[in-house]
Amino acid sequence: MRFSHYIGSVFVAAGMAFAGGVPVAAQEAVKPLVIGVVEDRSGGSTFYSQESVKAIKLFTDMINDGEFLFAKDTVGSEPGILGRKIELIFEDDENNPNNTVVKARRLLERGAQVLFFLSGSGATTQGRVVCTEQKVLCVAPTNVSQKLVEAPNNDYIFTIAPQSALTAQAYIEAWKKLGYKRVAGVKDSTATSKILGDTYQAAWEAAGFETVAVETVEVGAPDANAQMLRVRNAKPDVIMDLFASASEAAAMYRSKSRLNIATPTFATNTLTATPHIWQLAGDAVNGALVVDTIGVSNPNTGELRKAYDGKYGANTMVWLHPMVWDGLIVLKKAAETAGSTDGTALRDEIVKMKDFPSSFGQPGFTLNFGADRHNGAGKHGLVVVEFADRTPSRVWDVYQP
Amino acid sequence: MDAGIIISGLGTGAVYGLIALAYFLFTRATKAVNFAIGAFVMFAAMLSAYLVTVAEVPVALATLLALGAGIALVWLAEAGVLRPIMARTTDEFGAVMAIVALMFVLEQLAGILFTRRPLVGKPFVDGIILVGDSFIEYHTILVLAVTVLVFAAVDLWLRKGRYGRMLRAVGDNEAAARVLGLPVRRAKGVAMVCTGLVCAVAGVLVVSYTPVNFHSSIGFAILGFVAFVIGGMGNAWAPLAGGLILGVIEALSAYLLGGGARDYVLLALVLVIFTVRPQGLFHIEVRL
Repeated sequence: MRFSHYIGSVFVAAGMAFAGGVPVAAQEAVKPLVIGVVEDRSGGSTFYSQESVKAIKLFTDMINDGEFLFAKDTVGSEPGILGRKIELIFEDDENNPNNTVVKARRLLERGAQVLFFLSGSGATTQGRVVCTEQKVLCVAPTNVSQKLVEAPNNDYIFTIAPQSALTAQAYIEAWKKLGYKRVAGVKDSTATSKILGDTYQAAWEAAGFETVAVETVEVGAPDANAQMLRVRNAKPDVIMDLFASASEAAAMYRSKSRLNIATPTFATNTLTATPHIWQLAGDAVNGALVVDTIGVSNPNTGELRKAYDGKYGANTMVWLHPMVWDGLIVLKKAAETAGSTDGTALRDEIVKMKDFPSSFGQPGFTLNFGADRHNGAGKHGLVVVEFADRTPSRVWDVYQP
Repeated sequence: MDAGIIISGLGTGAVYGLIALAYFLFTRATKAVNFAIGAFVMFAAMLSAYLVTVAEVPVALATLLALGAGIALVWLAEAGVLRPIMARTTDEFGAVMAIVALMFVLEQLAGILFTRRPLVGKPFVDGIILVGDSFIEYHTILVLAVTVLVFAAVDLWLRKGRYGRMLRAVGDNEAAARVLGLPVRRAKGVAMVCTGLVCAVAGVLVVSYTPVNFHSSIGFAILGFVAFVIGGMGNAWAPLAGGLILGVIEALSAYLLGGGARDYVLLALVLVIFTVRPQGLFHIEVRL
């Protein structure tokens, strides 16, 4: 062989080795980390699902750009996760538990490595079976049902928001302080509302309160006059709003206002999560009290609010958004500690997290996870707010957890 | 028993009656049942609410635009969808499927144009009159008054109006009407205008009181049809009777049995009506 041919062969061989080795690794490194998002675009939980979607899109962009706010002390300032940009893909389960499993599987087929559930609790409870089957890390940052993190199928799913049982306890303590004894619950006919209602009712009955009425406003009902008259006739000390659907919640407040029912009303944080209810209900929502999670003087919340309001307009951040942020930051921390996006590795890192700085709750509040604790929140993640001028603008001065 | 709940039911029933009247007029003109009526009501409602609350158009102008949209949609449905199909075939199945498809198209169009969130307009009147422990809402009084006016106008038109009387002939026997030289197409066109107006009035009234979203069309279609079946086609007031009965039963079932019983009671009512009196409370007797 001539020497030039020999040299050419060496270069060709080197080029083939290069093409077969380093570029592939480089391709892996630049491949995005795909997060599959199950959302509700058209069902009964559309309102707070789409708020969460707005948040995940903004916060993903921020993380990809290396903007970590207060969280840089926890996760550093390297953009993305494991040096990879986050890419979001979406499927709509219509908040229908029959669809959620199918949509979750479809996201995995489309390349998702982690799943975020931003649909209703009832739907997510069905969908989490996919997480266990496929050993994929799942985060349901905004769902409040404790059933989500109870067996079976709870190995790979984590939630961030304070559970409804914890929140229910805050209501109970407030009602005890005010001397209430008789409670009337009003809810809608969605699966999520039923779960919420059952959880809260069980909690207040276990605490010794009497349930004098539980009324259901069917989705699509023209008003809630009949239900509110039944509530009025039952003479409760307090009314508990257990709605998951905005139209029906607004109908309840409007009927309550029209019928001049002055009974104090507490609501679940579906009310503070859904600004659309405030618009639909108008002044009728004033006076409602909610055990919320957005801290008044928590500097972390303030930083996040500034970023969120800066993008979407003043006073647009609601409690859902910090949950999504915390979910993403927890994922980043777990992935970079584990050095992997493997579901089992991520799960094993998250269950070790203690005193994880959070973006919500009272100042200094932190998230804590464990092998038997897949929800990170505690009672200092709660803040009781009062509606005035159609917004949750006042901190209630009677009681705080 | 709170009398206010019956009056509230009458108010809701009046809206069902208007939707049933729309079915009545359309069926009279074309012999077809147009399930897209619910979508027309929903579209007019959402347009009205969107104009008032998002585009901040004055209520009067928004109402007029909603009425115009109602008329345009019904006319387009008849002229653009139903008539071409009926001209090609006597098989009604094709027409029914086309109407159902139109309903879904309008639903999605409303979701795209006006958002997929519920919208509510501004109330024309607000507040209640307290009578002892009972109540009457000003809104209910307004709805009942407007409904009675609409029904009176339609009844007068059908009995005394030129095209109203023609419509009765066209509805009874279109072929004979053509042979007699009646302007069949024009009569149907006027009937479509009336149907659209009635749909839009129903939509504007309901959305001034309660949120409407793009899925509401199914509920309007079903409840309006049930009211139509209960009332029958005997005369122009029959749909109102059906609507009021339906509204009161719906309100009473929620009050006496709880909100969750509403759907079961309505289903039972439909089964009873279809079994016992499928021709409705008021029907035309034909002696041979």
